[in-house]
Amino acid sequence: MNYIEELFSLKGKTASVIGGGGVLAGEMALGLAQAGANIAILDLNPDNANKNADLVRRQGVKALALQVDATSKDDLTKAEARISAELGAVDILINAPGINSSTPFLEIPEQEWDKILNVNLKSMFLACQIFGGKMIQNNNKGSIINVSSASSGPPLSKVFTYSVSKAGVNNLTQFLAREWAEQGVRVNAIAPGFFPAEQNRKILTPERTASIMKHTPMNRFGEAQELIGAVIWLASEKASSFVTGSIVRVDGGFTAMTI
Amino acid sequence: MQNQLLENKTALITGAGRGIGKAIALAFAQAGADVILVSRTATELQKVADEIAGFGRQAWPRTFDLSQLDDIAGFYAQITAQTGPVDILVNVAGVIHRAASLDFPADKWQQALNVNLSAPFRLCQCFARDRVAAQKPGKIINITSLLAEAGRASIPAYAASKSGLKILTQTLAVEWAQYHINVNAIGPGYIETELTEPLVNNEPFTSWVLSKTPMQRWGTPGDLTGAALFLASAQADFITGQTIYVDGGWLAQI
Ligand SMILES: NC(=O)c1ccc[n+]([C@@H]2O[C@H](COP(=O)([O-])OP(=O)(O)OC[C@H]3O[C@@H](n4cnc5c(N)ncnc54)[C@H](OP(=O)(O)O)[C@@H]3O)[C@@H](O)[C@H]2O)c1
Repeated sequence: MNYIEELFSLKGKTASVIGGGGVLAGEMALGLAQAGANIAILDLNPDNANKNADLVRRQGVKALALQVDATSKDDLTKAEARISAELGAVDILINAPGINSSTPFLEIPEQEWDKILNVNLKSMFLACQIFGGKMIQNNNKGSIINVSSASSGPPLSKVFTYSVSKAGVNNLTQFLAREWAEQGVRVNAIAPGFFPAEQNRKILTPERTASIMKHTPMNRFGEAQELIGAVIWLASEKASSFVTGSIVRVDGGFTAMTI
Repeated sequence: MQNQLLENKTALITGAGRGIGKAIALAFAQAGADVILVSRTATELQKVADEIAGFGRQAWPRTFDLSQLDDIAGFYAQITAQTGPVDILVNVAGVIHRAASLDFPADKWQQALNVNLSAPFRLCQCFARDRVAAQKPGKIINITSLLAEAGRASIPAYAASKSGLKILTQTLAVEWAQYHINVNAIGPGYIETELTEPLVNNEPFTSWVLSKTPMQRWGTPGDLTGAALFLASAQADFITGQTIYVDGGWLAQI
């Protein structure tokens, strides 16, 4: 192995990617696999989980697809046990489940608020309890990477509940970073700027796209592969050993020019 | 994963004689880059250059005093005439002076602003002019500090220069995105180097640092190399205008 491979290699590590059936998370899983990690893809949609697990397997690593409701403690607990048994103790946890809505504020039904907060935020609380709890219990070093958003603060227009949930993700990230720093479990977030994905497709009208581009100095959307570098860097204990509680923004300059 | 992350790249690194700059220079060379090393101390630069030669890469040690702002453009033109174009600029050189603000000496203020803020700006200009003229992309990494985020007594010039460098990073990122020049910063927490040696050896200070650092340790220059390599590489092409903190969790807590 050369210097770079050694610094960023994830060979022999086990990564659990929650929401791994999605576009961005699926790409992250593929990146982790290319760096040598065995991967569990957890998703509510078993077809998407299987599809991405197949792609991962082609990288020559082990992969496991599990149908999991990320808001269910029971599902997550069972998944953790199965992953530990089949792939080994989890070293890397990617928390990426996310849903969105642009219902106008005064019309948001309580159920919609509950659902978005459950999927986007409660899921991460539960996954950190279960997977992070195991890292602590096993005395394992670990890296937890939460997927936040450019809208985590200050918020974009229209996506109220989503933005609240992502602000919560940043706060949870920082809380746990401090809580677990001494035990060697690092907790960071990646805040993607604008990447066309399933979750925001409906919301990206031409006007909204134009206004986003006015605030994105690179004047383009991101591509899913452009998140892989940040994920591998944060996942690798050697490459980011002193980094915890960071919110890493991959956004084409959006937050550099927008308060 | 690419075999050599920075294959065929040339990097110019200031403050490369010791501490953080030296660690980044050695890491870049091991990642396949050729490196121009800048500081005022020839002996230190030569040692780093020798190590780099051992990795089979080219190093150009060049002494220069960055506080001589008006000579920077000439210096840059002169080295690049010898080395060829620079793909990656890393502004690491920095100075700190500790004194109560009431009596802070004017010359120390000026020195810190020159070395920590004005010199990086001049170098960014030289670098970007070359890149734009050649229609080539580029990466700039500025080293700022935790002290770009919080006030602390007795380091007025350092804090002002580092927070200035942070917003300068954002400004240049916004302005130069159209030229595919990414401009980012790394904000180190408390890192054990010669700059901080008096603090490491000061028991009350060290226990304060540990009490504020969730990881309960001083960082090492090696802790910063992963972030620097990542930001310098194509893997960070959609990241610009950011400061990445490598601080053991310092900023995650109050
Ligand atoms: N150590 C930390 O905890 C820490 C934390 C946050 C930020 N930083 C920043 O990280 C950077 C490097 O710090 P370090 O701890 O590695 O410090 P260091 O060991 O003192 O190294 C500083 C480097 O800058 C060079 N330099 C200083 N003044 C110069 C000048 N006028 N012209 C050219 N080169 C000059 C020095 O070389 P010569 O003296 O030979 O010229 C040396 O190579 C600085 O910008 C510092 O502010 C450090």
